Amino acid sequence: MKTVRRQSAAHQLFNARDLSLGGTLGQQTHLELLDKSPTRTDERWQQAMSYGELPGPNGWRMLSYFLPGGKLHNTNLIQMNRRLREMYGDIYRLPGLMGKPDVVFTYNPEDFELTYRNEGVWPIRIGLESFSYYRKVKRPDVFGGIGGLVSEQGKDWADIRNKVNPVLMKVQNVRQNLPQLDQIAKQFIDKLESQRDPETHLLQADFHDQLKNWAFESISFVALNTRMGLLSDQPDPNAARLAKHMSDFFNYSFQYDVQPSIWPYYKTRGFNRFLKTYDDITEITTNYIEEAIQRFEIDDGRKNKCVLEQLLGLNKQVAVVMAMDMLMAGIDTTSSAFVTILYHLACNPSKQSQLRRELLHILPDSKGSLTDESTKNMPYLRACIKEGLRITSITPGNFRITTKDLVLSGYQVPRGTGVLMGVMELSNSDEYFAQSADFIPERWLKADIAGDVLACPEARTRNPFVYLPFGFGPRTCIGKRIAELEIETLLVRLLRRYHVNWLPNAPLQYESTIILSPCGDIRFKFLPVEGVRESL
Amino acid sequence: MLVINTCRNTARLALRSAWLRNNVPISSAIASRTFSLGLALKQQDVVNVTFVRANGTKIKTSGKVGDSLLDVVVNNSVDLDGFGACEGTLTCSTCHLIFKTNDFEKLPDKPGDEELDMLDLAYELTDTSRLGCQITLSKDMDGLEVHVPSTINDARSA
Repeated sequence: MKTVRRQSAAHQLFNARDLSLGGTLGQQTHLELLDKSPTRTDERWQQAMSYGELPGPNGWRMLSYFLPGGKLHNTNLIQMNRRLREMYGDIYRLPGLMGKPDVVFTYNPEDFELTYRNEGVWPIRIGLESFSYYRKVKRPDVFGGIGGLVSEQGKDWADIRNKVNPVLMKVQNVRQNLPQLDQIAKQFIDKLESQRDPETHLLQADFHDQLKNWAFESISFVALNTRMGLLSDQPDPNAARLAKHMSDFFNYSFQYDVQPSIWPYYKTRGFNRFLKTYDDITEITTNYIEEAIQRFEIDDGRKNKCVLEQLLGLNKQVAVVMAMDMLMAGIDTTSSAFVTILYHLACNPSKQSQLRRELLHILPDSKGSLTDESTKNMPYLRACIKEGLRITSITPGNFRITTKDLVLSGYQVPRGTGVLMGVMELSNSDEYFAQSADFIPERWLKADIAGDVLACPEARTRNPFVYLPFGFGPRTCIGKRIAELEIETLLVRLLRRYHVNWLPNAPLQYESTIILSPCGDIRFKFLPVEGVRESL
Repeated sequence: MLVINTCRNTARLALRSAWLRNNVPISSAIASRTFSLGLALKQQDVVNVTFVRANGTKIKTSGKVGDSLLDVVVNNSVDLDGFGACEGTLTCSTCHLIFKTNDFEKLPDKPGDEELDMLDLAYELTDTSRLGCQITLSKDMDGLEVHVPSTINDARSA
């Protein structure tokens, strides 16, 4: 009975939303994507506890938690989830407000596995709804009805994803970008060297800002086939504007897509400013794409087509949408992940030395170039990246809307319910990773590297679904391969050139917005490797 | 219901893979598909493959040299529910196949890091497991028999 009431209330909200948005949002459409078979009647389902028995607050109580004096007042997403877990246990339900579906929060890896394995070929993951609104309602002239991978669901989503998968997810295709990304990494190191005090080995610039420039330069090369020059003395004037807009965009998006907001019903002034930022980003990126198209027309004889050219070959609107999405999603994420990994290596000098032994093999001459062949075998580097992202995954949870009825942790969870899988809490628990607070790349090695560097798979959980920083399945992060290639390339260059130490006494701090991003005091010391004896 | 869904899925998969391979409008993709199938009929290019379901039933089918085992499933509309969900982009493990030890050892390419990561997430992983999307058919694989593990499915009866 409870389920029925819940759904009818939800329908009314969907209708209200329909009026205000012209039916563009994913909320209504995902209903038709759910499994159409009758409600489950099998034994497992019938023996499970009913959905209504799931612990959790009702709508009013939840609202009261967020009021001044409430238990969740002024908490960020991580703190909020942690407190709710303390209050309600490893599985609890938060009621859907403002037309959103209920969300079941789970901290049980078996639930993660079940959710992913039952997601089918068109998994539903509700994303940033403002994307859809802006692109479909405000600017159909530019986007031709394409909302993009983040906000689309079902067949519309699959139409885009199927087109871009071979371009952005096929390992070999993405690795074609290695020479240029290596050039960008080299340029980043040269700039770092020019900002480094040779006496104190300290940087006279904000390292995190510099890294954002590197990430921007890298992703705009991939997405727009354009060198912005952010690592040179003469950056493209539009690039700086675009960078500023991207960072504003990230903040706005957190405010209007993640936090509760009334924009679907009433366009506030702040939301209109957000739309203006969208417009500016659209204008600048489409200009860059038009310029690139002209270049491609002149120089038509090349064998290997770059990412943008491949995307343009599919469909111009898809190319515009994907290029914008790559820029929006590829700067703060990649730079935050990089700071995280570097921080752990800086705090663990013995692991850093071990990694450097591998890097000296990959790049014996620091002036040489990285090639497909030389970067094929770097097990310790990849293990370090995994271990860094295990301790701090910049996306602390993964989200899906279930398409089938599932039994999660012994409770019936009807199709159409949101499931939030609290990955980061588990990947930092000794229950799943021995000495979980310690940075031990060896847990990820598939084979021993040397007599003193042994693979240690027993130090990680037997359920691999506990660790999925880029998600899993058909809706895996589309930027995964590019991000990994960028991070690998810069780590090789940076640690081949410098011994890196962490300077502040306090550990690295994070703020929780759309992603977890490092904040506060971020300072490293960079001592040149050449001329300094490696302490083996 | 299941049958209808499966047919729909396979049809969609077939279209998807046509896109993947050709990056051109579907109509011409289908035309070139027919053309290449015509070529495939040349006896020396055909590789016979048998998929053995978890319940023991055998599906005899064939592909051509250079196809992946995922291509074989898609091109022949082999009825394996949910197989190859990520279209060979190494982001899921739904095309997990189990080889006989002998066949496994003869496979020319060892799994890369990306495949190994996804194999870790495969259900009923064995020592002779590979992902079908990464196995390219060669002439000497003719007569290959591979096992398709059961899928973990919470709503098995539905």
